[in-house]
Amino acid sequence: MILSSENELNTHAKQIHEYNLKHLESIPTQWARVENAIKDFYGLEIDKFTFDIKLAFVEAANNVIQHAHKLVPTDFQIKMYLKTDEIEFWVFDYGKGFDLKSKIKCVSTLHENSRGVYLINSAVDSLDYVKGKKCNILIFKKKINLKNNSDTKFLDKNKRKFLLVNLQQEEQDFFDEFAQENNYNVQNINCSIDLEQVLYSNLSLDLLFVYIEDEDLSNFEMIQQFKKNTKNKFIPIIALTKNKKIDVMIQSFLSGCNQFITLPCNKMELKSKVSSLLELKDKTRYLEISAQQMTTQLDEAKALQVGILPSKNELIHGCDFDYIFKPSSYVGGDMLNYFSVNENISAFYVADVSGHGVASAMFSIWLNKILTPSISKSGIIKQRINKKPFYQVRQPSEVCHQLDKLMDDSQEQYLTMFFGYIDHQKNTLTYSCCGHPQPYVLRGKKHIKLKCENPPIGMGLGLDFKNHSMKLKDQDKIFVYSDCVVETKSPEGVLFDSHNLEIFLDRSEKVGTEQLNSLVSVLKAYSGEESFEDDLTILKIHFNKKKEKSWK
Amino acid sequence: MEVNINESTSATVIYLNGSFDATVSRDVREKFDGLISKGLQNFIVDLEQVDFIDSSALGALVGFFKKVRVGEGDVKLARLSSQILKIFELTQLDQVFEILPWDYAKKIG
Repeated sequence: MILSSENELNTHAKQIHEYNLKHLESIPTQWARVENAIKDFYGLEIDKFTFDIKLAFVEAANNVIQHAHKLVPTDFQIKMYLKTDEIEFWVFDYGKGFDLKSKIKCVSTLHENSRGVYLINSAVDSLDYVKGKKCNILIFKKKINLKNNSDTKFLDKNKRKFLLVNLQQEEQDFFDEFAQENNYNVQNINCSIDLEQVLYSNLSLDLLFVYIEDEDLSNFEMIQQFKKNTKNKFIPIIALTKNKKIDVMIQSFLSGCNQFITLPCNKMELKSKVSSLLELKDKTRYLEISAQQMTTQLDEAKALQVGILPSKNELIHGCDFDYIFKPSSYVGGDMLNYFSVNENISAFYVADVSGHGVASAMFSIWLNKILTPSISKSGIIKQRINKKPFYQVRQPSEVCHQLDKLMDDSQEQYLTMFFGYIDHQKNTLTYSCCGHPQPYVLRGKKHIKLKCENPPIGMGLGLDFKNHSMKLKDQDKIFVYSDCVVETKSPEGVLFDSHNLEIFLDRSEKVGTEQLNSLVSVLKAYSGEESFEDDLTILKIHFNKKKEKSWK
Repeated sequence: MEVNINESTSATVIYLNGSFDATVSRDVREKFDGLISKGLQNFIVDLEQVDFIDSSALGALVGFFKKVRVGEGDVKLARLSSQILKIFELTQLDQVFEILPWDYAKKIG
């Protein structure tokens, strides 16, 4: 028996309200008063809690008017007792009374009446019916608990937000309790009702629980739809089911679920899975933000790197200088340049700074700056002296040595470089190749491999760098490239290698820029990819001593 | 309570608006009967704008369903709020009425 005496109630209740009803039309007005009193007392918005109270109140009043009083207008009273943790209603009637136990059973589905008391019982926490001599009293109580109020909105914006889809009451209660114990916010929704709201709303969820019914494909479709939405792609999903069939589990994972829990489960298991998924979500989110920042920085570095490259198809002292430079998506450290040093000498280099990313790109830009002959005629290329023309051009090996000295031990980068001069008066090529892929001089249908005996620059080895020199003939082509060319891999992982490069160079009928484009096409075809993992740089100098020499 | 009707080729959609309770259920029953007497057979009751439903409304819908089934038609429900759906689940009427997906309108044309 849950009945308290009226005196007890009067003592414990913080507020008592009385409502007088007579016929059906009086119900909406009186409910409005009840609702206002509840809101004023508890500060609650319309939600599951007040919906349940309304259902019980309306059904109780209906029951009195339609069944106890047989629609004969008769005054009756409903009393509401507002307590700190509970609301209690007393509904008086003057009819014959009824058997509560038989009325709280669920009627046949196709029955048109007799669901009222059943619904009241479902909506409240306790229900009783007291038959008296003068009147009868239906008494019901509803507990006030903030967890009941979490159904329609997330209360605390700072808490983790979980959405429960399609959970039945029993499981909802379990999850509500779990959420309260672990300081999470939960919201329950039904897939068929609120799915669109969830898919397109900005709930900023932390975790989604979806209850999977047996062979109900709509849940899997809902999960797939949810994951398709870009804003949801990092929100973990836990599939809940009472079904232990392996194909349900497989289908859940295939649909996009991250975890699978068979109900009933214990709270420790649930907590550990939730914690690991939340940690994963946070880390993924952090990585996503970092990746976005990095992509922006890389794009900027790439633009800067490309922006300082020399003009293509440039004529320096009668020689055609042309190149192809394709920065990788990760941004490498390739750099090239060519320029006139004086009236007889042009200089050129192709360098590759170790590593990838912004640091390598910035280093390659520094390299470009340091290897540009300064106006003051003093720098790495030109060394100031006291007699006319007051400078002397440093040999390639000296340039490499100076660079090696500048790159102190504290720097993690090193670089490979081919640095050369063409002496247009003597028709010679003098160069120093430091750890760089061996360039070629193409003479007719033959290729001459240039020597590469120096270590990379900046290794901190303190070694000397050597020069090499060779005579150039008219129409010779100097072909310098970065390691991306020979290190391009086939889908099977086989390197393109210098062997294939030499075959290409020997057999290529193309000339000028077309030959460079042709090599890029060959490399793409070889790798089966449209872009390259590393910067791709190819420099080609067409030595033509017959052309009229001109100053840059 | 407002009752709006949209007769399409595949089904007649009945849009209800307001609180569906004992104070209006008799009027709504009469409107349902009027539609049946016009010879219409297939119905969709759209409950999106219904904020409350009680046992008399459930009775009205079950009565409507039974009469329509006699003529081999069907009554389906659409766009129930989670609270109203819960009432259908509690009373197991979700097993009687087919409950359409939220975007059912796209499918019926």
